[in-house]
Amino acid sequence: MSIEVVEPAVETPAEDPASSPIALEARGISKRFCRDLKRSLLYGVQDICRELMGKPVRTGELKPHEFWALEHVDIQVPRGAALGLVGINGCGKTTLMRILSGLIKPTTGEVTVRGRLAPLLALGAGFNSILTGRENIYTNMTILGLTREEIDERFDSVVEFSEVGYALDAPVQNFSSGMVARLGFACAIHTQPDILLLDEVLAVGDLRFRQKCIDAIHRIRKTGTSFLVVHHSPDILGALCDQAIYLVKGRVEMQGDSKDVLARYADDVRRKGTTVQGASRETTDALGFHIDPDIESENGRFLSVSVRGTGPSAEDGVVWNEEPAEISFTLKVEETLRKMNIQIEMMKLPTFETLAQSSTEVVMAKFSAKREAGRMVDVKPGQYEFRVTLPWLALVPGTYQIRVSAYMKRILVARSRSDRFEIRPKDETGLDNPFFQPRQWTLDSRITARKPAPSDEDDEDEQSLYE
Amino acid sequence: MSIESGHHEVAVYGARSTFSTPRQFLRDLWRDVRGSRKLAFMLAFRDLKAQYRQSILGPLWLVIPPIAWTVGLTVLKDNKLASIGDLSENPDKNPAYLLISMALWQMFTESLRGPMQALQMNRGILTKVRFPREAVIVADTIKLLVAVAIQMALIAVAAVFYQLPVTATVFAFPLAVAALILLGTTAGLLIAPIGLLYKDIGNSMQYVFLAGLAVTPVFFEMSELAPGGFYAAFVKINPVAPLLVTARELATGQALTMLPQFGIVVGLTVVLLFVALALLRASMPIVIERWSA
Repeated sequence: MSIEVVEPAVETPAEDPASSPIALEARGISKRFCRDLKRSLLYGVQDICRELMGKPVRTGELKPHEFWALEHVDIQVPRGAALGLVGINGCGKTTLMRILSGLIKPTTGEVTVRGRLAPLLALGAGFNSILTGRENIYTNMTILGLTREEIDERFDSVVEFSEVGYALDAPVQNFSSGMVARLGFACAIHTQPDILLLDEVLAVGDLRFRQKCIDAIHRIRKTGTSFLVVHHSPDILGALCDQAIYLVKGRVEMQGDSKDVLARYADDVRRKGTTVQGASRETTDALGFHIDPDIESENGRFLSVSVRGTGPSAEDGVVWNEEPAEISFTLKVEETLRKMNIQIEMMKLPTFETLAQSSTEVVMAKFSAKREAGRMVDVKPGQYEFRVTLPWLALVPGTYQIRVSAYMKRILVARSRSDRFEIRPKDETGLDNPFFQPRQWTLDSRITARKPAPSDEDDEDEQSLYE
Repeated sequence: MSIESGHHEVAVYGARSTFSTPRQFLRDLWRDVRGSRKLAFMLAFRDLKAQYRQSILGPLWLVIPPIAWTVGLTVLKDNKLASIGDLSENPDKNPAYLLISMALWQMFTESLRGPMQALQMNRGILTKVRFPREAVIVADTIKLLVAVAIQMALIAVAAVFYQLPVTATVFAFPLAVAALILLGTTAGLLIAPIGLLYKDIGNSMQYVFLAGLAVTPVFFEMSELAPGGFYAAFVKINPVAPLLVTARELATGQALTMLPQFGIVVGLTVVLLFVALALLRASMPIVIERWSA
């Protein structure tokens, strides 16, 4: 269960830790937790006694109320690599991060850290809210292991990066959460760590700052710093990491190329939303990842939902604007569906760029059989195939999913989603429009030509969203 | 088994007990305590700055408690509501004497409370960054020493004001104070891990201090103790007594009556300090685990 070396390091003697290709290594990590607080405290006292007597941590059977938060996890982070860690809430990500950063002891296994490790486990580690930003920079970086002289040297750079210069002498309790996050991140990266652990730290802060963080991460990776990143958004992880690990109930479910792992994770969250999470439908989980599980009832369920382009450029998983497409789905009806209605939503999934505004998807188009096909009908048990043809696709390019819902009167009885697919533009102009307006230009020579309208101030910014 | 501040050092931490190899433990401990000096000063400085930022009286709070106690007790005694020695019969016992006693007791209780309070206060960093945890304790001791220095200056002023006889022994007074603080800190470290897990320790602290005040010669002298009896025995085995009495005797230039006991307690405290530091190292990961981030 180890990950391949992403950027092979130069071959040098193994004694020199700086040259070892693996910066952070965890072998056979397991961690036992206790759900019951009173018992957990008691076990804690027992563990302290064992520890004092020089005995190893108890590894045998679980006592009442105990469970394995992590089981046999192996991780290797090569020098200069970025490893993403995903999994739903409670799968052990944070526990693993805390063990790797040496805060808590694993029940079994061992962690080897080669070099300086800076954990950014939550925002503004160790900021004292009464003290000013300036004072906190010094304290924070001292805790992360820098000397005063080193901090003096880097101070301006930290302030510049964090962009809180104007509030430097205000107490940190007056900072917004974004400012605290920026300051924390700036401090951490300026300690020039060999390994940086980031646990959900990019979740706060605006779009521009996130982009800046991501740029910074890419930049310092080139100097050999390794990253282990936990983030709820597969988009961000995909942008940052080349390798990823997917944890399910404390075990490594999948690991390897981040693209594959993240796709699998996204798929699982979508499919198993309720069963794994126990969350109510149509909510976002605590990670901010949208959970919208398939819904079925005794009345019926969707067997499949799919979309395909039917135009000349059609390919798998990609639908082109200005070309026709077809949505098809199969509904299995178990008990008569009285006054059935079908609703189709075309949902644009959040991308890294749009996450700043919203971490949930946006319904770009919605249509229902009731409104368009007239009256609602009673549907007898059986299997029904539906096809909706879209003669001309005109949506903002991006990653989409189709969500189909079946209603009996107004009660939702079944719901399912298609796989993700891309809507791509045939022409690259007008990409910053919220809607793709089909158009045709004619120049009438009798009217005096006007100067073209000046472009928007932030035209450039928005253009970059679609790069 | 800890992260070094230097570049490219290898740190290994795992399920193994910190104490499976005692020599390694002592080496690590020494390295961490030594390596955490700068951090400790930084933390102490930070706290001292933050401490009085939300206060009008500021550092005056260092001297208000002993003064308040002394004034209060003097009033009670003058009105025959409390029988705390008798100043009129004992010319040595002037108000400065009472002030010294109270200040010493306060130093002891503060140092006992210190480790638990300091660890609790730094919960935010302790749960997020691994660094030598000893720094928190050292920082707290530095803060306490600053407070003690101010209190001692105040005592000096009071001594001059009340014309307390000054002898050469007064130069040994800080040593006795240091011993008292060492005892308090060691005891504080010993109870800290349990105290951080169970609130019972913190809740009972003020009652323990009240009871402690009753069995420690703060308002009385050992010579005033009725011989025999359970109570006297209790006072005699109280480890705080020899330290406090000796410190007071040094400050007021009296003959040293409890020097052997003083030596025994200090010796035991030094040994216990190592046990306490070991306990701290063993327990912090377990406490942090239960604190959660």
